[in-house]
Amino acid sequence: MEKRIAVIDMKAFYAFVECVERGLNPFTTPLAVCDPTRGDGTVVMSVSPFLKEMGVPSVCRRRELPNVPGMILAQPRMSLYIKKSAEIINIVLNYVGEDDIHVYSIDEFFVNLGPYLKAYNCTAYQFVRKLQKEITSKTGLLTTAGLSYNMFMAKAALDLDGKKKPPYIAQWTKADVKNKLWKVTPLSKIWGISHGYEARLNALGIETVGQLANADKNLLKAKLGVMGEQLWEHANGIDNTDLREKYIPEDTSFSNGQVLMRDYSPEEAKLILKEMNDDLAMRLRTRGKTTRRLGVAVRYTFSEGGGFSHQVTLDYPTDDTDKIYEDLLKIYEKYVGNHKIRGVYITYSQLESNLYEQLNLFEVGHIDTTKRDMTRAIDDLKRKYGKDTILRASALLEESTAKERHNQIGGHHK
Amino acid sequence: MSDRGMKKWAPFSSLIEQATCLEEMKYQRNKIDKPILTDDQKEKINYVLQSYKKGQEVKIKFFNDGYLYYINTQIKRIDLENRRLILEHGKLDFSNIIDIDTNEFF
Repeated sequence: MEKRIAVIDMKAFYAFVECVERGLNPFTTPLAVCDPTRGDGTVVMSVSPFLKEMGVPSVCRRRELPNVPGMILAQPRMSLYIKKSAEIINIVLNYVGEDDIHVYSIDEFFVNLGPYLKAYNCTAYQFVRKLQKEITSKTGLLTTAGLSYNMFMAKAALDLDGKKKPPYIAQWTKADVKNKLWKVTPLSKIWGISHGYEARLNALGIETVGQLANADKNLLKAKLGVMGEQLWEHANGIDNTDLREKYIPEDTSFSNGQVLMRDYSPEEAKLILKEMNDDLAMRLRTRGKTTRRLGVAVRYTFSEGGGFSHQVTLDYPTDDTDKIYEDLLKIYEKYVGNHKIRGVYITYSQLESNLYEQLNLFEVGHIDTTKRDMTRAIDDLKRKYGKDTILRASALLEESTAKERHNQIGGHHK
Repeated sequence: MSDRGMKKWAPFSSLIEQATCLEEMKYQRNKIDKPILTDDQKEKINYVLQSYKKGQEVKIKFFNDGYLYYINTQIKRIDLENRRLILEHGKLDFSNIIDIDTNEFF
């Protein structure tokens, strides 16, 4: 059976959601999702189709927005977008099984249609149209779609064709490899080719996808490694990925970092270190891991530039907040000196499972079950009622950023 | 073929909250209604409980929040007043019991 894969993407997702929530038409409303409480260097996360048509790039800075009368700057509401995204997946799950959807990002997902066409007695194209219509009628949001015989070609159909104009769907066949894909230039328009790869391919005399497809595969492999082979296959419309095969990347490290809103003294920044460690250690425990290697990185004030980054390996792995903080602080105090600080980052690596613990001859009783039970209870409370349920009293200090950061998702307003 | 497979389509899971939200949505939609027991099934549960001897291991199938679970445990007490079992670790309402089996080898 030939595979039928669709990729569906939400048009100008965040901006569209904000328009729909306000009862406005995104095609006639100048709306940009961009936190109005932050400075003019704030990133614009999404713009309405109306602004896009005026030539505003999808991602820019607030100061680059044109001066349009009636411009609406919408404060990001990340949790609303995440909820809407789940709502859309929920609609699709009414038609296909969980294994046949691959959620690629907050506004994009792949669907494996092949197994369902007989049961629904329709073509892949009709199926996708039905999904698109239902999503629009239930959520008011607009989707764009690409449809083809594998994941890469579906994505190419979407990005290079379907996204652009109504009816917001494009179906590419094997013939379109030559007719459409091979015509594409510059190469970075293709999914999976970064500007870096584009430059390296250009250096080999390859400017269009057609040239890439007809280049010597072994040469590409020798020059660019496994990626070279992958790019050659994509250029020939080959992608044997099985959407049902689940790739679950194993956690290899956890990290957390923030740029501060003002310069901090080395003493003040200790609190930032502590607060980030509280959150990250909880994430570590939630994932059932312990860490054996800790890192601290600090960025000095902008005018001074520079900073440091150092790591240590522990004698035994741990998930104990206080123990980790103690060791992070040792690194921090050793290197911090007397600089003004603008950024703090921490990492845990060399992760191990928390299902077993190494007994330690020299620190009798380092496995403190009472404390562990208490930590577990606190974690449970935070998971159930939010991270602000139990805070250190120091969260009330002016220099604390804990509450503010708990009110953010991915660095943007919740 | 050295295809990287789904690895190359791995999402940039920078939004941990999105993954959590999807899990919750799937959890909600995969919930089932509490099974309705036949008289025979109820009779069997009743029989096993009445002939239960202290210290016996039981395997209980029970319903909780849309899902079925199994537990191997001992019954400490049958609390008729509140219509529930007192188990080694926790309590279980009669109404959530779907099935019970004892280990009959004693």
